Amino acid sequence: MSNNKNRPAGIGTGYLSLMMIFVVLCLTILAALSFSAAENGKKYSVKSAEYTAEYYAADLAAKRVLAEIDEFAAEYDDYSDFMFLAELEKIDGISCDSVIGGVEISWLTEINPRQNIYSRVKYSAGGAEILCWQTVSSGETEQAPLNVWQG
Amino acid sequence: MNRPDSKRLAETVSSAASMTLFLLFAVCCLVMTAVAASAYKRINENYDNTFNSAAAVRYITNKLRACESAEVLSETELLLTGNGLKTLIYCRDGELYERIFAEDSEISETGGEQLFHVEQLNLTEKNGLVEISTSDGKGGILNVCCRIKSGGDENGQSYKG
Amino acid sequence: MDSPIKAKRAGTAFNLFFVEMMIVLLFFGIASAVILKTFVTADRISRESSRLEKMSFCAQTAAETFSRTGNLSETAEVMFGIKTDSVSEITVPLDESCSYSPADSDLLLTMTVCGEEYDGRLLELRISFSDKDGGVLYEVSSGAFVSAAFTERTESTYE
Repeated sequence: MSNNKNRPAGIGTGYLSLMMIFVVLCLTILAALSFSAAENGKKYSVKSAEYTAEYYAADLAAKRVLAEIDEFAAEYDDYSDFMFLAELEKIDGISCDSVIGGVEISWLTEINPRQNIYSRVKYSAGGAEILCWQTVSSGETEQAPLNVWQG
Repeated sequence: MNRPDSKRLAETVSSAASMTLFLLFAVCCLVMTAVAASAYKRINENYDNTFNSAAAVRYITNKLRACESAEVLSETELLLTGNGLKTLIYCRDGELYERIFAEDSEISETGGEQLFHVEQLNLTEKNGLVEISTSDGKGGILNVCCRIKSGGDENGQSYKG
Repeated sequence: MDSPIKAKRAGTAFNLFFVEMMIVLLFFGIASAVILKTFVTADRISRESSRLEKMSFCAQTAAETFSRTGNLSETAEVMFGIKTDSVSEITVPLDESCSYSPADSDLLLTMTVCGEEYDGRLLELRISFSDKDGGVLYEVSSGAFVSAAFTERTESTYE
């Protein structure tokens, strides 16, 4: 009885500390998870945004090559003319294939070390047209696709 | 005679003060936990959204850029052709699926591989651009346009660069 | 054997409780401040990444539309429904989700035709997002190739 009289009202010593440690621990775990999720999201967004910028920079570079080809082509009516082909040789990184009544020109533009834009245009008596303008993995082109197991 | 009364009063006041302090602490704990939980929920939802709707849009965009020709079959179906294969990308019951077919085989929207959770997918083709629109069902809408290479024979694939 | 704690008077227990309460409140206050700061930072990073994602999609739409039209005013009309006569630079006020918002804007999208090469056949477009203070947040360079030789065979022109 005398013990009960002496005991203070409220909770005993130590419970508060335990409660605080538990709450702070929970909050710390939530904060760490939130921060980690936000950081991962940011990394993904930055990589995506960087890829978009890289892709359009490469697209612009590929169009610049196309414009250069087109400038040479504007001076010729016959695209199978060897002078036209000789002019095209001046442009770095392109390959020309003579086809009936014209020429097919293809080139690769690097987006990043893993991907390229593969462009292929055809100049013939009927005019000019883009046959292919697609992203390919480095080392893969229409003529030499990646060696994927077909099952 | 006054001494025990004043002592009892002091004890009562002290007890009330300690209880008030404890209540203050408890309320602080609750408020902090509620704020932390709501912030965590919002950040996680944003993260999930990034890895579903946005990733789905990026996936379709990259597929469009890498294919030889593409055709929008309906608002939720896209058919891509390239490397002798046809790829059907479609949305069913809030999920994005992909199925690859041989070029001469018949296309069906069953048995595709599940890719991402997308509440709604809308594909619209206009003037050589495909508008890809996804919704996460919570009001978050993503819109993006991508050039499309129309189908048909190889020589017919002419488009403005 | 009785514990020495039980032998203490009630006043000492009260003092002990108060001391503990003070220490707990102090430590909890410091910990809460650090944790709240972490949450605020995480929330800011999350919002920024979401905004960057939307800016990158908006830039892609602008680049693709310009590539198709080869015309800045047409690009602005197709994307935001804005009619403008400007052919070299357009600034569009946008909200957080990169939608056209002339009244309350958080971002500014500036599209500039910064170069014309090969007699105007190659147009270079710079798409730039900036905040209210003018700080550049994201930038993409893109272009359009417009050639009579190619457009003649294009099935349809932009409507």
